[in-house]
Amino acid sequence: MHVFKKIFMLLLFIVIISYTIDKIVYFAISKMEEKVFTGQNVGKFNHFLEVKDSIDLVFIGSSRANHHFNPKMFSKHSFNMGLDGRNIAYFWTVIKMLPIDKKQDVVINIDPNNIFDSEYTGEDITALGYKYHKSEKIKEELERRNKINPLIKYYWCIGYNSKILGVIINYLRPKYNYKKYNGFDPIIVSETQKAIRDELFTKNTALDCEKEKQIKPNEIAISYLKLIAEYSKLNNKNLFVITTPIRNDKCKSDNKKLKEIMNSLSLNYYDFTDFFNQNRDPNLWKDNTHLSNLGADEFSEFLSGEVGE
Amino acid sequence: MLFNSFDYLLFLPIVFITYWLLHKKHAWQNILLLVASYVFYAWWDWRFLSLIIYSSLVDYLIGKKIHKENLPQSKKRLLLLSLFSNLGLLAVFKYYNFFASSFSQLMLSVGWEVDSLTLNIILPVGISFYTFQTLSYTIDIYSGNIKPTNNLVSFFTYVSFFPQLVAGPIERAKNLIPQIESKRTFSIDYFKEGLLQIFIGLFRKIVIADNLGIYVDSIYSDVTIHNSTSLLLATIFYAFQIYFDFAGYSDIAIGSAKLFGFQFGKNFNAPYFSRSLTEFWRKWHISLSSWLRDYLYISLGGNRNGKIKMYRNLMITMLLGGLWHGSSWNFVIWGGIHGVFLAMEKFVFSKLNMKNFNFLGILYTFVVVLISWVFFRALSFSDSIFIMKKFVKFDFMAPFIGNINILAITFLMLLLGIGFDLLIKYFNVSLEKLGSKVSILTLSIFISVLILLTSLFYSTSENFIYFQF
Repeated sequence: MHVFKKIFMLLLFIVIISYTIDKIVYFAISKMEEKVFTGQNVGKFNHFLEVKDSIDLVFIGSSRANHHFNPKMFSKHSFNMGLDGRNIAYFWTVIKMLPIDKKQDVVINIDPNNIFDSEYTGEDITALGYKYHKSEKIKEELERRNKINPLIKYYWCIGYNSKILGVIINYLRPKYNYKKYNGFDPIIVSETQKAIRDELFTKNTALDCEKEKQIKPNEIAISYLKLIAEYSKLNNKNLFVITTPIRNDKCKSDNKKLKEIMNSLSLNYYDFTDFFNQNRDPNLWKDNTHLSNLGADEFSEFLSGEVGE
Repeated sequence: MLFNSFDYLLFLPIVFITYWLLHKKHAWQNILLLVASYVFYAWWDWRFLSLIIYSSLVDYLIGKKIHKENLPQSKKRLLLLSLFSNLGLLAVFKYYNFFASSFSQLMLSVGWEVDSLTLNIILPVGISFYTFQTLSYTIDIYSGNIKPTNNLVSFFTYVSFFPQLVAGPIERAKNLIPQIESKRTFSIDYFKEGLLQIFIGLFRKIVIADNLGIYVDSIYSDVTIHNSTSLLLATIFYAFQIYFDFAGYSDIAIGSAKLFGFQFGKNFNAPYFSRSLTEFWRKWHISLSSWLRDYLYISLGGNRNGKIKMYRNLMITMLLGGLWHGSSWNFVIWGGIHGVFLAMEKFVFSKLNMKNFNFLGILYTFVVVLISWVFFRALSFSDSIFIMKKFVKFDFMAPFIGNINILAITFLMLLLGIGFDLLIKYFNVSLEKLGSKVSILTLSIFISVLILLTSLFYSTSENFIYFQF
């Protein structure tokens, strides 16, 4: 066989076989994934998609939202969509998935570091890569800032990168009964965590507040905030932006600046950073930025009254 | 340009197609390789191309002069000029800050405070590799092992050939220049072998090494908060991370070169299955270890002047080999540990008249290498000592898990990587030749499976570890 014919055959075979294998595996995983409603990586978002049309209140944010808002104290038809490591690009995409014609309350936990992190580029959205070929809305967001591996157009399995084990495990053995789960994961502080926390609290953690004065809002974060504000106004969403409690936060200029930004966008913003300033009980905390189950319940109880009003 | 980047994914086929379109014009092929190599390097920082050009020009001219010169004294002077010029570059760009800060610390320890002498110097990528490559050229001419080339393009291409420019393998002029100067014909076997090795290298790098790196980085970034089990696990992971990272890089380099009709030497040969440290160094980063043996150890006298001097030469070689990796005392200690154990092995082997240990030697070698990796990876000397104390203390408890899914994937992929190495070793197959031993269909299936596994398990790409050296 002529040498160039051989090269052509080899490359053609690679293209065809790799494409075929990719699709077979993709559809197999995809079938399983659609039935996965447990686990933080994939299941929780699927669960949210299942309940999004029936809920009247949703909490959105990172792990701080996940551990701080107890939906049970607000409404029977509410869901906590807080997830560890997520940021404002992800928050926006979650809001975008809500039904446009249903009146719903949306509470987002936004901290100053969500807005003033100069290095933030919207990479948290890649966590939804596995929905690239399933949802046009998500595809649009993944492509908004070129946050998706371009090869995903040909090799669909890239969307399930690093998720496949979680999908298989949760498919074969769901971790909990998702019908009884409202997305809230209270932190019950273990003895080991208590020891680490107490040592942390005894340390004098001096913050560099001088640096903070030069903070600049991240343009990408601001653009997402604008999208959230505009979309909520146009689609029957009653939006509340909240900074949940942080322990011993000495630097205030970022909070002040965040409030100015929220006001300029006409958003309902509530800063509860110092909510527990008067109460020094360490049992309310897991660490400086995460409340324990006790702290979360106390905060949620207070907030349910506020939101109710 | 990184091998694991989209840029390279476009760059390689463009150069490949253009190169073979010029197959009737050998000189133009070399010019294309030279230009492509400079583009490849300039992708990182074009300003430092001047250093490569300078180094190439100096050694090209000196090489010719040494060959023409009849007087041994003049030849020696010219060689010293080459050494001074090449090592001078390394001294300025790689070691100046290290020696300046070491000097300041030494002065401080005797109570004399000196102002900071360090400068803000960027380490040019690949400088340690191309410096050794050009050095070996002049040394070989001086020793009469090779004749200098009269073709400027050939020599410049030899120094900067992009597959091996930034992190080796360190190719000898004796092997590469004749290949550059002779006409290459396209070979389907080379193409198959090269393509397969590139995909295996990518898999080793972005699937195995980068996943291992996640755990290693999370532990080594702050060793003081972790227990012995986590530290031991992270160190074992690092041993495999650096192996799969650099072996993966070498695979891509060797595979890429093959696509252009060039054959590089093997750089790794299942080193963790070695039964002694001596054997380990015949199988780990072979192009560097043989360079150090031929141009440093033997130049110092090797084993020709008695046992004491042999041990001394061995220690000097390993200490300098350590320092070559980076400007830190930790690398020197790493080299020192290897030097001490190599010397001990030489002593034991000569006393017991043996060439290697039995199968338990694999465990012994791995433990020694593992301990030395602690110094290689730790962020500071105090971190290394902390880890060593933790190992000795033996307070083994449950390890840090982090993300359980990622850890599970890491274990799975590591087993796959080790299993593949074992198969290669068991069936005595050369990885470099594997691609040509199978049919087009089998090769396509194998590469397709690699693509699938890479899609599902790749980790975010990072720089290759050896870039920093």
